[in-house]
Amino acid sequence: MQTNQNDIELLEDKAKAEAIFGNSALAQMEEMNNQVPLDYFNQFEARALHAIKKNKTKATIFNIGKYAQLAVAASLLIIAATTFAYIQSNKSEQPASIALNMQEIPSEEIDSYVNANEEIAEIDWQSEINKEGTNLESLNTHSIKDSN
Amino acid sequence: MNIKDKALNLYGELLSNFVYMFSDQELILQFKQSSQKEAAFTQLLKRHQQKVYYQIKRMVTEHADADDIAQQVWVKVWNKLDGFKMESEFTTWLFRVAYNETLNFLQKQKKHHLQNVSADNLDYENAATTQDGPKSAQIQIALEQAIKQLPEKQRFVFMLRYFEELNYEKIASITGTTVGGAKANFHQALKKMEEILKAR
Repeated sequence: MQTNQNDIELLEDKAKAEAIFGNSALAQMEEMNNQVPLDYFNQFEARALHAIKKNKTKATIFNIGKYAQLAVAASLLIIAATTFAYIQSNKSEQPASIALNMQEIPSEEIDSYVNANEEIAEIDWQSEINKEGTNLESLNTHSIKDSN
Repeated sequence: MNIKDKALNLYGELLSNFVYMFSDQELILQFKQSSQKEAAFTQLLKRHQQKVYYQIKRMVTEHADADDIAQQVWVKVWNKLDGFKMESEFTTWLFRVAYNETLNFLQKQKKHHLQNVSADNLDYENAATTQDGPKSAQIQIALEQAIKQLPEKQRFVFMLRYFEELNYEKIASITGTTVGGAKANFHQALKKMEEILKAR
């Protein structure tokens, strides 16, 4: 019953269109539309399958699967979080410990450390100057000999 | 051709006839069981490729464009068929894929082809004023021009209804509208084409 009604409705719709354009114009249009190159549909199957295979290889280059993608994302997240936490802990801990240690050291101890190091520095400088002097002397004697 | 070749040909024909006995749904199930994927897909393609191509060509006119879109449609079908839940007929789903691909193409083309539309109108005017040609040829050109001026959805609905003789339920599913909407689209298309013809 429903099919019958659908058929009647279809015939009515087609008749309305044909009343405007005429049956032959619509038929001619369809005839022109259905013109395809020779053997087109026989060759289409192979070309479509080729396009599918080409598309598949393109897609599989970056397709690493859902779980692998999740694993990679999780690893990157862990690395980023660990690095961030490490940097933050270093930033907050170091200056506090240094400040605390400096305050704990008695001033006498600091003075004696500075004095002792000054002496060492002087001794070192003196010895280096002496060493340089000997080298300079030896260089001068060589140059005098060469010029003669 | 030797006996072996003849036997192989006969076997091939028998096999293809046997496969043609399967319904679309059975072929889709075979496709989903990956062992027979390509064979099942090929049969679906063979069965429906002409209808898909002709419907696309009615919309885009050029064979090369229709060919490109048809290939894209079948690539999409291959990629998405595993997810097809068979809640509608396969052909409805297939035409919906074709509809979407054609609309995408036309929207891209619209940006580049505005100049061509005016050139087409010029062709029509020349043809219409030529008195030598038969009257039917003029009507033919007028019809094509009128159809070209329709909005894409109305054009698609008109083609599906008149040439593919689909019922409105199917047309509504394909174009993503209601049955009433599909009916309205068809009648609006007729009205608009009549107006265009009268204006000329």
